[in-house]
Amino acid sequence: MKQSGALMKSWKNDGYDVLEDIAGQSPELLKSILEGSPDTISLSDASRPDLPLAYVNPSFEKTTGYQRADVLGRNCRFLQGEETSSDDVARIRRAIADRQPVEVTLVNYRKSGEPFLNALRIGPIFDRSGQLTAFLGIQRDITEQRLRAQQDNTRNRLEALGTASGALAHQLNNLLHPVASLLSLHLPDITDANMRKDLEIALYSANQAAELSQSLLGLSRGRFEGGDSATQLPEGLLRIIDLARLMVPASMVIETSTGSLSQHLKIPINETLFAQVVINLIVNASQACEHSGRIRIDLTASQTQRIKISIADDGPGIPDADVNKIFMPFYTKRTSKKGSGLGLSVVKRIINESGGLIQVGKGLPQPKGRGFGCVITLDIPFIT
Amino acid sequence: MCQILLIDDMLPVRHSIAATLRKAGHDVVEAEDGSKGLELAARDRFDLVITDIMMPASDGTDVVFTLKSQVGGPKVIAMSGGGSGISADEALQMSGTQADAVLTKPFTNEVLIETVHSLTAR
Repeated sequence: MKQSGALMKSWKNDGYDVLEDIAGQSPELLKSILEGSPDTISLSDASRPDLPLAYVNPSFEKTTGYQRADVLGRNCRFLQGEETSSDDVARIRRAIADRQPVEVTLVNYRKSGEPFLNALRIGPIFDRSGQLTAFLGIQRDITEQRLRAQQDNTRNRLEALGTASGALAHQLNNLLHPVASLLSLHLPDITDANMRKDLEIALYSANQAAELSQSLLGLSRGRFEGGDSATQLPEGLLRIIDLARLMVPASMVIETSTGSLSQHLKIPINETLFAQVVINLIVNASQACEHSGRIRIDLTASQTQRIKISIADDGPGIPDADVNKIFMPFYTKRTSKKGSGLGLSVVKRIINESGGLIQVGKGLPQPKGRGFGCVITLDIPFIT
Repeated sequence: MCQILLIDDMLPVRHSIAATLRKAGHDVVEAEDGSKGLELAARDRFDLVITDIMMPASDGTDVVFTLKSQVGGPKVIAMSGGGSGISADEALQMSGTQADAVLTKPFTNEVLIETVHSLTAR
């Protein structure tokens, strides 16, 4: 009690007094605070050129993979890499030049080359005389958070789409029923051959529209509403492919083969999540082909209680050097810069959570080129 | 030829079903909701009642249960395409236990005529 009373009193006078008290009474405490902090803490020496790191805490070592000895004396820009936004870096530079605090969320790289999303705050540290002595960096790896948010966001969108398309399909069905019914009722009575031909075309279109509406309805029938924790194959996959077809240009040809699947199977992934996976892979393939090409989807069951789904395209393929990178977060080089670069990471995460594996390989032969497109293969255990 | 009471709240749908039935030679009386349908059913004798299930004013399930609780009442077909968030199967679950047949919308004219025939042929 006496001690805390002393701290309270001195706090009113000057923050430094508190620190001096702590340092005096318990010299290990300050160190323990820094060393034990779950957030990454680094200190750059402002008195030396190029702001070399003077201190990093164990959390820094854990997050970045660099040992203290690797980094002390170096400017922390070694954390940057090819997907780090130059705008973010410029903001940090400007704040440092202006001796202002700054908050930036940017892509950084661990020693292993693996990217991570770093929520970074930097603040200038002045000593008692007002002299700038250091820049304090507090960082948090928010990659996992961002991936989960992305996954939730896509799932919410799909669920909303399912609900909305279901409601729409009901309205459409009610409007299409009289069209098809009345046309087919009276067609036999039409004697004028030309007129009959015209009305047959109208009937054909009405039936096609009804079929489309039925497949929209399939999306909403309890399956895209999150409840069920399993997806039925091949029906679920076919339903998702129907939806994906609406999301890529008609110039993309999507072929499906479920021929070797002799029975109905269930995989332990909720259909909304599975739709995220499949739609993501199909849309990626379409982008890789610049929206004109061929996608082939094969579904095969293996002897070992597992199912393989491969999605192959005849686009430019993945350079060998990038094969190990494509499932890492923020890999956006191949696809558009508009993408979050999280799509394939989310796909991998969903598949891995169900006990599945995801692999990349050589896909369909390119139409003119000598090479091959890309194939992504999902290898998922099924429920017996 | 049968006396058929057709209950559906959607006029174009009701009209097309009625037209199909009439062309097949049946007499059709139309009602736009369940309570009007039950009034008509109490007044006149019908061989068959075809009712939609999900209707805004009064539910078709009531029609099915009321008619099937009467001894010597008409045959009943329940039909539905479901609604927002409700599949046709779910919509027809309750009435399906009582009705003589169910029709899942959308159905073709042929299916309609066949179903009617199977219940009324003797």
